[in-house]
Amino acid sequence: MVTSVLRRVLIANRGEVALRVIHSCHALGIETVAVYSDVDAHAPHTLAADRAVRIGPAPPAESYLSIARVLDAARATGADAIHPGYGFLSENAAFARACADAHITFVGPSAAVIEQTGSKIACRELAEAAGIPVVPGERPHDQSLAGVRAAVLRIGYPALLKPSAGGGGKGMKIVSDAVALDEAISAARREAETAFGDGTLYVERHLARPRHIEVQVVGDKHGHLVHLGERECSVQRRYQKVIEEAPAPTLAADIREQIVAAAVEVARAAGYDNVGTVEFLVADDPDGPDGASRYYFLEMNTRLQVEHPVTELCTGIDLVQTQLEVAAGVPLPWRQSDISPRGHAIECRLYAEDPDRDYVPQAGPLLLYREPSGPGVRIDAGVQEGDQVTVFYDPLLAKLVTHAATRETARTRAIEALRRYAVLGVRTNLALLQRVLTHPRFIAADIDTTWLSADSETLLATPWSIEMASTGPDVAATTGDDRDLVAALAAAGADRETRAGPRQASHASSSDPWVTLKGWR
Amino acid sequence: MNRRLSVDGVDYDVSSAPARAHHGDGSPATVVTVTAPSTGVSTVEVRVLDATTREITATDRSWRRIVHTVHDGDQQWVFCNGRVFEIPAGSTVNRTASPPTGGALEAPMPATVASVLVQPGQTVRQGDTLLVLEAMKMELPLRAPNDGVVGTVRCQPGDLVQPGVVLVDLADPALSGPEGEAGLPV
Repeated sequence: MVTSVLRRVLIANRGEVALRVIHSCHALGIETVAVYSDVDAHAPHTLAADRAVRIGPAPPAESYLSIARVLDAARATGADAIHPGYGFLSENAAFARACADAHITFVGPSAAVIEQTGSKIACRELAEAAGIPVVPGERPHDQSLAGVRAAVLRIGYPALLKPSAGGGGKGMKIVSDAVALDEAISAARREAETAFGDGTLYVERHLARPRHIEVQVVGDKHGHLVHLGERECSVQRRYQKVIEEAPAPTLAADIREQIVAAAVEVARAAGYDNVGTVEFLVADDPDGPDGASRYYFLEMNTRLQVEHPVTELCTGIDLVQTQLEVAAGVPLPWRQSDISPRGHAIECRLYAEDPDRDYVPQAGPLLLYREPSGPGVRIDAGVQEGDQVTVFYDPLLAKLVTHAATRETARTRAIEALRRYAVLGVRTNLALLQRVLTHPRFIAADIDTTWLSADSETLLATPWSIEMASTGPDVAATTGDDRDLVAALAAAGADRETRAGPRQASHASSSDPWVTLKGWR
Repeated sequence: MNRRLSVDGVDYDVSSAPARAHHGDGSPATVVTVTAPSTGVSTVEVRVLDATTREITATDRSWRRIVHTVHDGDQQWVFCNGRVFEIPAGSTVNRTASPPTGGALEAPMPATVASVLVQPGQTVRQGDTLLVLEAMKMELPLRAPNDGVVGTVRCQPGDLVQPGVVLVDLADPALSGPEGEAGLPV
């Protein structure tokens, strides 16, 4: 039993992933320790844990990214393990090593494995040595402007600039010609320094219309390794995933077999243990027959992924529980043949952002926050009504994940749930998610990583059809869309009637005249 | 009471009558008539279910919506059927108005100024990056909404700026040119 090995786990993270880890710990009877910055003193993750330790002010570098403060909190509370979540310190080899030195179990692979697989260059070499195709690219030895510029010319346009230490799409810049090159290099370096404290850049050939396919792998400390199937994450904006699904809807069976085998091969070559994800790009094969595609190894993420729930829903496996068990030395209980994914799962990431304004992250109060529920609907949230969304952290508020026997039912369940997901006070991408899910190209699974950006003008500008909107006999006169608008305007007009004047500003608070009407009906 | 409410730059006439009991069920409703370019005239009853929930029913009972709403200063947020409406109090305010020619560039959100790429007096073209903000670990380039000449730069790298704060004054060359030549707005 895990409980005999791990007694108390500190979660070095915040938001929805911290809550996700806390829930699995508690289900296993493991005590939890939350850490929090000043602005998170009453955050849901802080309140959910058995104990909570303040680790500093709001800026991540002084709190969630501080190895010393996190370790101090672990020692002070007697935690015997630390779960890093994703982001922050999750792929920081120095942190994993510091945990080991402090005799605290790091829930993840060893520092040596993180170093090798976390470094894009070392991991590429590993994959190449194993005979797995890679996207042409290099990390220039000369990291000066001239050096990176020369590397771009060697690789060819269009090229992609990425933080060498990075992940999650942060700081990535695509350059199509020499005109914008210097500004792109400077911007990529600044973002790399801000996000990862390391401005080293990696230059890669940019593939046309690639699809992002990744494979979940999990290994134990006894050399046993399995994959838990693939995910497709091709709906992206600014290189950040927006909608993910499992399995990949249009992947040819032979390519799928090769990709999952390659993923296990990479993990085995790295001596990997714990959960990890091997990412690939699948693109048209320029040398092959029509419709043929090729896959390229992209990178390996040595941590839990944001989109892990789609794999959990299809396999029935709790990946966080698996992480905790593997970290405690428990052997994996399955052979590969025991893993049989069922049905289809789709995850929608709810971001506090304004898709109409270049996806600018939004900050402000969550004046109203109501989650939907229902069959096959799972929500991993890090916020609750009344919270303040701040500029200090990732704008991800929550993830809506639906599961069903077929992709089509998972899709319609997601749309139906989004229609009941009320978030007011901060702009979100709620409408964009519905537009994507109802778009003919998403329905046909005709998507690649460029689609959302390329089609964003039509996606954002045209009213989307609410295909399941209830329609009455007078549908010709008033469509579902228009009724929503009329209802919203009527609600606003009626409020103003009661408020006796439009300028009487008031927060939704105890001074709200409507509060006195509570309890009617 | 008659109101003109604006959603995404389109104005709608909304008139409402005081709450009164309807149809003998005892719950008072406000009767609201909405005149919208797309729908024509719709008359509905609005009932308050709780502080943030309203039931909207067509007077002919052909359809119904449950909406959530909160007030945030002068603005009202309304959620209906997966859509969010931000309804400003005035009739002239809207959120998607085309940017004015010339004028000021404001911070769209709380952010840190990462870099300033222009100087006062510099001529810029529409789409040129004027400065770069950083928030939530992402960079946000602020671009010129139109051709113009940079006036005062009101921020420097490292500044923490709040939404609505003017960062750069941008003058339309046609408006700021010497008197007598192209000095009048077209």
